[in-house]
Amino acid sequence: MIGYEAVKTTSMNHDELPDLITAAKSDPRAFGRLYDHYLQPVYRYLYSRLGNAHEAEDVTSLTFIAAYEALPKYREQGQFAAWLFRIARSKMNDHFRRNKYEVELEAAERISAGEDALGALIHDEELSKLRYVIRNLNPEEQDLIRLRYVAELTFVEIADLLGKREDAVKKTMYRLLARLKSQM
Amino acid sequence: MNDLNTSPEFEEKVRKALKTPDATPEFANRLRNELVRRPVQMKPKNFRLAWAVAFALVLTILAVSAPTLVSAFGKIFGYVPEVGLVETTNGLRMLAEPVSSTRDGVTLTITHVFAYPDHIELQYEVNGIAPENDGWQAEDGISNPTAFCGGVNPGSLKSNAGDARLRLPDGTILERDYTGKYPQNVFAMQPVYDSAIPADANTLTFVLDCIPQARLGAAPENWEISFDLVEVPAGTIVGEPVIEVTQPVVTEEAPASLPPEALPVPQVTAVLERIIPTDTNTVMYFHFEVTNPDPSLISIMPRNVSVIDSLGQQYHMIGSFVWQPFEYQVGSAFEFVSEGKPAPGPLTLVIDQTVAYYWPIYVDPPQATSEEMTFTFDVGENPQYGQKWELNIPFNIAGFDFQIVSAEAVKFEDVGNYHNYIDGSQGYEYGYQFIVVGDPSLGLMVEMDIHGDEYQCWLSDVYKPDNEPLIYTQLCKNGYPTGQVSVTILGMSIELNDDLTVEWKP
Repeated sequence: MIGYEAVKTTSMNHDELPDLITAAKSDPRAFGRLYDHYLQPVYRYLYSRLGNAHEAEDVTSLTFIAAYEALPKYREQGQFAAWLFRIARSKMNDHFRRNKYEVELEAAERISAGEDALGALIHDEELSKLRYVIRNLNPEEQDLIRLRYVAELTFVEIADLLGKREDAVKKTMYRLLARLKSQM
Repeated sequence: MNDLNTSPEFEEKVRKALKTPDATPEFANRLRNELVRRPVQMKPKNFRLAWAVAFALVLTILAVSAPTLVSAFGKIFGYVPEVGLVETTNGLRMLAEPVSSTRDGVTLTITHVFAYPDHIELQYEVNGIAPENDGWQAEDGISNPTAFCGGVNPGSLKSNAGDARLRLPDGTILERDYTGKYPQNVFAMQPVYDSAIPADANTLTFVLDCIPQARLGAAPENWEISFDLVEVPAGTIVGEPVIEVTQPVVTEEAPASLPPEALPVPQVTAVLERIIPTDTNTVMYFHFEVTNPDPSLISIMPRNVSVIDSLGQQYHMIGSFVWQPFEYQVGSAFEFVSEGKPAPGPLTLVIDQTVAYYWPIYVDPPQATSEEMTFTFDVGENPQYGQKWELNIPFNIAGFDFQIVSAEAVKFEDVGNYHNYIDGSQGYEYGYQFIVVGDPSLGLMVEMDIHGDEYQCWLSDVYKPDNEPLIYTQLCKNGYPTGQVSVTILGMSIELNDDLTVEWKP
């Protein structure tokens, strides 16, 4: 094992990202730092789409291996998170094409309920209703919610990923939240 | 309309509702070990993503380019007009020659193909479609979208009917990339395919069910056109040689029109990166650097650029970019092309108008909350057209003071006096118009948003008469918002009137 015991998203100053990416193109240890920073957001996002740990681990592995192999071709323009999540979505789509299904939020919710450390909250009526309301969003809206609140991407990163303007993403998100709130 | 008042508490509830488990330590460590033990990848640096290709020129240049130039220009392997920089030719194949097919007076020409090691970029053009059969021009192009190839009714799923496919010699069909992986994959006639093609597959077939936006049944359909690819030797300069500007260049700033001590105007310098002299013009890449930028500054955009040659001739330059400040944050490179060919020798780049954009709510980290950038005024339950409200609400963004002086209930026809809206009001008939006053030397612009989903406020108009305050209008679909109307200042911009000049000597 490479020495760390707890698994968490490691903090990283965004200013050091370009140098880290450059270093990671020829130094696996530097890539390890990128991995430490982005593993959990990628994993959580994939889990929320796939609905189980086994497949989330498989697709997470494929994502980081592909990113590692493609890194020499990556041009640093401040869009690393978007680039990485684009790979994750591509690998996930490949997975769906092979397996012909996609877990709905309802299923993810059941799984989440079983594993959520904050078990007491799972039975909270308000949260259940919120899940129900989110489940009735269209797929694009659900994905936007996942990218923001499961993967915890910034608006800039989501905008880069979706090829949209940051302010457009923000407006869409705020409207979406306002709609969710009004339906609660 | 925009509702920026969603609370952090509600966002936290969304997080909890969607909570998913983290990866286990066992899995995380296992994958980490696998990754760091993989052999180091030494693949060549990939090309800049290109969205079009000028093949005829490329072939011409290929014939005359000396391979020895490659080392002189580092990793840049040329510039292709309409494409941009090409940074390697390793594994690159290109269209051998443009291929055309004409049916019933309609000609389809495959003009450019670049087959990269991992994807293919293609471009074609169509001539001979009658205007009444062209969805972009036909009178019923908007009202009857499904009459045209690829058209769908509002709210319907995207149609792929007008997307060209590629057929390999073994019968494999390549579909246009739908994953969003290639940002240049925007136009139907410039499709990108996220596939590698076998090294021995040099004859492909272009397959198209119907011409995008052509009226169904009125233009030839089911096109199949074969074309050939040729290999580009690795290291070959493709297109025009690029001069990397590595030597120091002199950047001069004209006397500031605004004394920095009086207003917090950003101190901007321009940095020239590359020069590409072509047969007909000169292409220049530059970016801006800002000394001690305010944290809410997102972008400096160049508005008026020219180049002066060794004979003193000045050529206006045209920017090859879209005016979207969020996509050109400070430090981003801008590409400009001269209108005419400057004389050989030293060049002076002149940038005499730039615009600085500040969006304090939307920078990361935010420099203001939406509440701080929001003002409210009471219009009562029955606001009337022409009714005015004195506001005099001060704001300060990045040290610049301005004031929302007043609001007035207006109609679409009022903004129609300022600008010509070819689509008309689109239903946005009623709204409020704000008078905004700032330092007259700033060229101040603001962007605002009226809250209230039920009114669907969206269409915005900004008008700045000479020597008059700024007039900002936002119109809504469902009448005038009533009661306490909340408005958020999304961002502002100022014009920087200082000339920036960059001198370059060969």
